[in-house]
Parts: sequence; C-alpha cells; structure tokens
Amino acid sequence: MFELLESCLRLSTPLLFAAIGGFFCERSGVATICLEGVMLTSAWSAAVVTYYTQNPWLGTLAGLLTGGFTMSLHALLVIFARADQIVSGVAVNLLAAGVTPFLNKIFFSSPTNSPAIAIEHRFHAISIPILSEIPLVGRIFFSQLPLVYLALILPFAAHFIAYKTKWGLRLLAAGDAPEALQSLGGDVKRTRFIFLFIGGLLCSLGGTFLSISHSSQFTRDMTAGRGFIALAALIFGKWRPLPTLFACLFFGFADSLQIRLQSAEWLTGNFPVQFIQATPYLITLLVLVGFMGKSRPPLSIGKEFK
Amino acid sequence: MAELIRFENVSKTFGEVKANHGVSFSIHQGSLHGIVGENGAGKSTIMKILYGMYPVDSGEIFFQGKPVHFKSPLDAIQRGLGMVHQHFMLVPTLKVWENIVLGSEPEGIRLHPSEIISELSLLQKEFGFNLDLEATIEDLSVGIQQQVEILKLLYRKAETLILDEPTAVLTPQEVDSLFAKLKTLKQQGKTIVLITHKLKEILSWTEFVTVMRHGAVVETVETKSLTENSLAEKIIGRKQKPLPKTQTNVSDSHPILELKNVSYDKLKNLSFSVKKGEIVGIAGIDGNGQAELADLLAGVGFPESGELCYDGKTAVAGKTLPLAMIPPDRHAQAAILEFTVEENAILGLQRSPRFREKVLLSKTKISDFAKNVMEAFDVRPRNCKAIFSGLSGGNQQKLVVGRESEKNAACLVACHPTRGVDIGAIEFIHSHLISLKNQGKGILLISSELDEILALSDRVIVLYHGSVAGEKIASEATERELGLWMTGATA
Repeated sequence: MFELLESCLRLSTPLLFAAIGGFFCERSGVATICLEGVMLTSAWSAAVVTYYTQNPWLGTLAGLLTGGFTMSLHALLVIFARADQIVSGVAVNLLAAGVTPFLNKIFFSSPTNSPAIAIEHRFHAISIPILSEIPLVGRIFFSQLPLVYLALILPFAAHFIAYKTKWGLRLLAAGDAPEALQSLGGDVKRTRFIFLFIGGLLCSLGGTFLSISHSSQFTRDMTAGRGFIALAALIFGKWRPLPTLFACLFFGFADSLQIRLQSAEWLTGNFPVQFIQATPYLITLLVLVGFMGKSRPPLSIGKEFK
Repeated sequence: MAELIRFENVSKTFGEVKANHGVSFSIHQGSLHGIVGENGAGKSTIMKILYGMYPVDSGEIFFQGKPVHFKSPLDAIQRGLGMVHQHFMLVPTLKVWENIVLGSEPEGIRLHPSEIISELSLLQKEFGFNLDLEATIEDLSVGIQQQVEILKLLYRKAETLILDEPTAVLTPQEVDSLFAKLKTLKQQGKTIVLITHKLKEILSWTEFVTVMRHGAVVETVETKSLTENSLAEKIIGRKQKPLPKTQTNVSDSHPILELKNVSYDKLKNLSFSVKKGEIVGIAGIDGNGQAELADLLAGVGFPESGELCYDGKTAVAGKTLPLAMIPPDRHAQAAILEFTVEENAILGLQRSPRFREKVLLSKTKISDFAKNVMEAFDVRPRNCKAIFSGLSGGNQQKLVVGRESEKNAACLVACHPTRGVDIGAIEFIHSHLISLKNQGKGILLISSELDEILALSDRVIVLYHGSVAGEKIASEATERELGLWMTGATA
C-alpha cells in the first residue's frame, strides 16, 4: 500500500509538470496539445547531456532549454505565423517523435534508447530530516526525488500567480478576452509568448524527470501519451491549478495501480498484460466523457489573435 | 469654450475604400459633441484614428493646440482620452474591479483586492456610480457592463470620453440612465463625444454635431439649429422618402397567425392574432417575452399550454411553421457570418429543388438567385462571393429581408428588423414591409422602437411580463399611453 502511494506521487510528477505547464499555455488562450512533444525532446536532451557530462543538473538545464525551444516553436507558429493551434501542436508532436530517435541514432547508433546513466549520476531521493521519520506519511511524502517536491508545490504557486497577481490578471485576460487586454495597452502576443515559454519550461521538467530521475536513459516514445493525459487532467481540473493537482494524482494513482496489477498473478493469468497497461488511458477516456460538459475552456482558446 | 481637439484634413484609406477623406472639425472642451452619419460614413474610423488605433494617411490632429500622433490607445489614454467601444472590451470571466484595473494595476506584483476596492469605491462616489465591484462581468446586464466600461475610463483619469454607438444594445430605461450619467460627467467638466446614427439622441442631448457622409464631414453645427428632418437630410444627402400608402382593408380577412392562451417560458396566457394584409406591432421593453415569442414562432420552442394556429391549422410540435422570419439577433440567428453572401442568401431554402443540378447544389443557380436578391434589395457591394460578416449592418439586414421575402410565405415575423441599421436601409426595409402588407401578407412586427411600431402597424400590442398589457389601433395610440403599458400599467 505504501509503495502504491509512493509510486503514485512519483508517477504523478511528470503529469503535474506538464499539466501546470499546460495551464499557463492554455490559459493565455493558446491550445497546446504539444505537451507530449515538449516532454519528449527535453527527456532526450536531459538524458544525453547527463550521460556525457555525468551531471544531472546540467542535464536538467539542457532539458529546460530544449523543451523551452520546442514550445517556442509552437508559440512562434501560432502567435506570429498565425498557424492553426491544433495543427501546429500536432506538427510539434510529430516532429519530436521523429527527431528524438533520429538524433539518438546519430549519437548512439540506435534509434530506440540512449546508454544508461550510471546510478551515481542520477537524481536520488532526498529524505527530509525528522519529517521523513514520521511513520507511513514520512516515507510517502518526505523521502522523494527532488522534482517530486517541486511538482507538489507547483499547483499552489500557479494558483497564486494566476489569481493573486497582476501577471495572472493579464494571463486570464489574454485567454478570455484578448481584445480587452489589447485595448487597455496590454500586449497580447507578448503575454502569450511569455506564458507559453514558461509553460514549456515547466513541461520540460516533466520530461527530464522521466529520463534522469524516474529512469536512467532515454527510450523512444518514453512519454507514452503522458502529455495527453496531462492535458486531460487539465481539462478534468477545469483549467484550474488546484483541481488539476487532484486530477494528476488520480491519473498517477491509476498508473501505479496498473503497474502493481501487472504482477498480480490472479490477474495476469486471466488477462493479457496489455489490457492492464491500457487502464490509465481507458480511465482518461471515461473521465473526459463524463466531465467534459462541465468544464469551460478559456474563452478565446484556439482563436487566432490578429 | 476652448478648443480641445481639432482634425485638419485627415484622410485614411483601407485598401480601396476611402474611410475618411479631408476630415476637418473641432471638438470644444467640456462639450457634448455628437458625430452622426450612416453606417460606413467614417465616424468610427475618425475616432479610432484619434484614439491611436489606426495611423493617419495624411492630415493632422491637434490636441490642446499641439499636433499629436498617438501610436496606440495607450498613448491616447495617457493624454486623458478614453473610448467605450461598440463591442465592449471587458473580460467576461473576471470581476468588475479586476476589469477596471487590468493593464493599470497599482504598484507591486501582488494584487490587494480590498485596497483596490476601497479606492474604486471612492471613485464611484465621486462620479455617482453604484456598481457591485465583486460581481463577475458575465452575470451583469449590458447596461451595467457599459457603466463598468465608463468607470474603467474614469479610473484611468480620462477627461474626454468617446462613446461608439453606446445605445445600440440598451433598453430605453438604460438609455435614459446612460444619458443622465453622461450629463453629470459633463457638468463635472468632462468632454463627451457621442458616435451614433440615432437622430433623437443627437437632438436631445448634444450641443454640437458633426454630420458625416461617405467618409467626409458634411458640416459641424450647433444642435439647436437643427430639426429631425433637416438633420436626416444632411445625413442621407437628400430628402427622406415618405412611406408608401397602405391599401388593404383588413377588417374582413381571416387570421393567418393566431395564439390562444399560449404559455411558454416567459409568456403567460398570451392571445392575439394577425390577419392577412395587417401589420401587428408588438411593443414593449426588451426582455418581456419578445425573444420567447420569436423562438416560439421560429419553432425553437413549443407552447407549454394553449394553442398556436397558422392559417387555421393548429401547430404540431417538432414541425416548423411555414412562415418567413427576420430573427431578432442578426449575427447569431439570421446568418452564418463566415459564409459568403450567396450561401447566406439560400439559408433555409437550401433543400429547394430550384438550386439543384441533379443531386448536387448548383453554384450557378445559387449565384443567380443571390444576384437577383441583391439587386432587388439593394445589397451592396454587389459581390455575391463576399464574406457576409464584411457587409455593413444595413446591407446584411437587407439580404436577410430579401431572403425571407423570397420564401413567399403568407406571414412574416419581423423581429427588430432595423436594429443597428442605417437610415437608408431603415427606409428601404420599412417600405418593403408596407408593400408586403399591401400584397396581403400578415406581418408580426416585434420591435423595441416605438416610432417604428407606430409608423408601420395597424394594431399595437404591448407586451409586459409575457402577457398583453394593452392593445390599440395604431392611429389612435399615443406614445405616452403605450409607454405606461410598457412599464406595467394595465389598459
């Protein structure tokens, strides 16, 4: 049970980074279905840089830069080149899915995975003194990888920025009524670009988590739809950071349960393992069908701003 | 009065359209200055140039005696100008106070709502506003939203307020309270520029008026030297045509449309009938069941109780009545804005075999039909491939009227047929309605413009809270009496 909850937090972490990153992007009025692609490129570069430099911090930095760049590509296409937001998102995702194995092949002559990073060069769990010694709770919450802590704080920070600061006011205005913001002297395009870039950085952290915290290498398509599940969590969370936190934990829990069930003999004897692996996606689908109607997207999302 | 703003020979061209050419006039400090003209006369353009939204092509603007070139609205705002746009620039999901401070937030990154609210309350007191600052914009009526827009400008220390067609979306009471508010602001020393196409507003509220036509200034005069007729002539550049004479004798024809004790949504026990060759006007303040009545007749709704009869037969649920209809909301209900003019010209007629070539729709047949409608109803420009949303309000409405007339139905329901439409188009649509009546069609005219109702109708019915508050032969009705019924007094 403790392992289940502990792994739930770990598996929720990349979703949280991507979903809160997506929160800033979509709230600024830009449909951002390329969270997946952003995560994938940053996962790759973080793994490669950490492998060569043997320093996970440099790897994280590389991941941030790459993910920020990938999201900027989407931002440039939709904000300045006035491309359709969904089409651009699909393009970025396809590009990431193609470019990462391609580069990996050039570097390591294999399109499928990068060399494993030695265990001492990866991020490790940090046990917070005293707190981590609390029975049960201590192990689940206070003996985790560094990014897990950050991910859990992130929704609260996002909530504060969006609803308590003037930057947040402009973010929400850009997403709900860009003309109003423009008429008051705000710069809609700049606002959107900045928030997309910030969203891209957050989303990249999710990508680096997959390749240098949660595992020790890049593998092809290792994001495995997490960018889309994060998007689902954002929608499920009604485009608000705190409900999105719970949505991410819910999906993370579904994922950790699925992994645990794979080793349950009474199940695997009767069902192909693929069915069990598919459950988180199935849950995503059910949740979206059930809750879609009640969730209201940012009013100007998907619309081009001239 | 000192001169505040002076335009000298300002010209602006969009593509091939001369939106403004050689515009010269002055606005005096502390005055209520009207700018009047038909749609497309260039009155909004000249104000948007002043406000820094468009650069000038040639000419000069002087502000307090010095030439200015505002590069963006922000420049204009900093010099004490403020504009309320025709389509409100509010964030519907945010609160009133958030909308007011957006873009000009107090120092510091963090917002302190209580401090902002107490500051805004002082501002409200100073200018006699009484808005709920914690309310969310989308929950407020248009009239209140407009007040938020004005307060937003006052928060930015605007000394000159420019209002672009401020009354287009307001109810009569809201119009009155708006002008009362503007008058107070003027007494407090503000300069107010009112862009409108409504003659009454100009005549009853402004001190000076600049008349524009085809992108140029006809003249700027003191309002008291004008009468409604002389102003109208200046605006359209010719004398107004009188309405055609009505012919049909109504009394002995039978009803084409009849409501018997119908209840539906806001409508309660509503009964009335429309005979062939008769125009029945439904007057009343918006929101008293007019929209529900339109929905009912369009087949969007069905009576919860009572009976709806068309041509002697009782209506059946799920079956649309074969009547023609000019819907109340042109943009949302009468047309598809992104479609071309010709596509909009056959909306609702698209299943008719006349547009078919074997099984497919024939582009040429559609174009020919659209061209005929555009010719007959004077829709300009005569380009049937143009995107509908690019047309001016008057031309959009003429196309809708044309399309509905082509249905050749025995009954036409015309909801606010001249809302947001210029004088030329109003004239056209009014005389067309009369000619339909003369052909023996029954017309139900739903309008919030009492003038329109009185000028066209044979009978007037006043709607109040979904029921008939009173009914009168139009020629015997007075505005005063109808006005009383509209506010709930019973006949």
